[in-house]
Amino acid sequence: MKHLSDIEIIDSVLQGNANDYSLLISRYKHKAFSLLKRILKNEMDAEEVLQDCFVKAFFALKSFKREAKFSTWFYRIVYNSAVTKLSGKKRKIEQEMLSIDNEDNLLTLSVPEKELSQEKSELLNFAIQELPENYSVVITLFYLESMSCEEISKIINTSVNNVKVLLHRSRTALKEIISQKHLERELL
Amino acid sequence: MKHLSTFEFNRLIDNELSLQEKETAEKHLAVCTYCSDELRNLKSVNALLFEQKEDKAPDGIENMIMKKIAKRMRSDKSQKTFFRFVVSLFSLGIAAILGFVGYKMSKTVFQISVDNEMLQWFNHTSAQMKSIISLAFGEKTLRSFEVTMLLFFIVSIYFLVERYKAIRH
Repeated sequence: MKHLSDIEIIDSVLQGNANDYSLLISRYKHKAFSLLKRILKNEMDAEEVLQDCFVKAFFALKSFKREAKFSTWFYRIVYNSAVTKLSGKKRKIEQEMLSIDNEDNLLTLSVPEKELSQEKSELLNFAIQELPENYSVVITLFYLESMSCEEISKIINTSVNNVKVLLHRSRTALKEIISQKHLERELL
Repeated sequence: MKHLSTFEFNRLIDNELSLQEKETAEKHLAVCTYCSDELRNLKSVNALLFEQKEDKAPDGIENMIMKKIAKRMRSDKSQKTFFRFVVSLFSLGIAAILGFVGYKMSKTVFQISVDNEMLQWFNHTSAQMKSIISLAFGEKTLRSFEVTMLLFFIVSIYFLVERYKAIRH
């Protein structure tokens, strides 16, 4: 069953074999989780949204048009759910901030000492987490999911040129973050 | 000396520069340490990004998702069943009322002295109906109409009670 294509699995699920959906889950769970973690910057939120996305996708499978790849369609659900979650979270934070006098302390991010000794990939993840959400989305989809700029443009609903600009800016921003955090020796 | 722009650096990395643009950039890079350092750093970032590893989703998430799906499917199904029950209950209720009214009309039991216009109209109509059936089909047909309506009423009430029990269950 593992070698089945996404479309074959979807057909099987739509024919009533709901359990086959677990194949799609195991195929996309890590990548979708990585994307969510980078957008939401919180593991628990990422897990919660990931579950919701798979459930949402299951019940929307009938509406999936086979013109696009399943991955593009699914990542669109993931991206939109993450953005919705994020906007709710931001609203909540803003409300909380109004009641706190010392605002600056809350937003100050610094590299904890212990993280400098951690693995390269963890340091890179840390640097990526510092990027704005739209930059980390583009970076994750382009490098980790090996998606083309065209595919990314469909997921985040923007033009191909805009995706390219975002990609350029995110590389430059990441370079700046690495230099600001003095991580050049460990990472570059 | 004009340095290369961020846009040019990135296009150089992505191999998007035309031959002429590439040639010009390379000429500049050969003499400008600042730009060649910038390019080297950006290339390192690019290579680093290709090396990144995906985060592992929590263990057992598949089971949790499949459980959520199964739960929602069950709830959708029970909602549909409940809706069907309510609709059938309603239709059986209507059937029971019709059966009762039909039976009463054929018996003309409502012919009691009342001032209410509606009831007077009902009495009058049921009496007319009784006489029409009796005249057209005879006294026997009238009796069988009465019996049919009574049975219809009893059967409707029976199913109504059964449905109600099923919903409560």
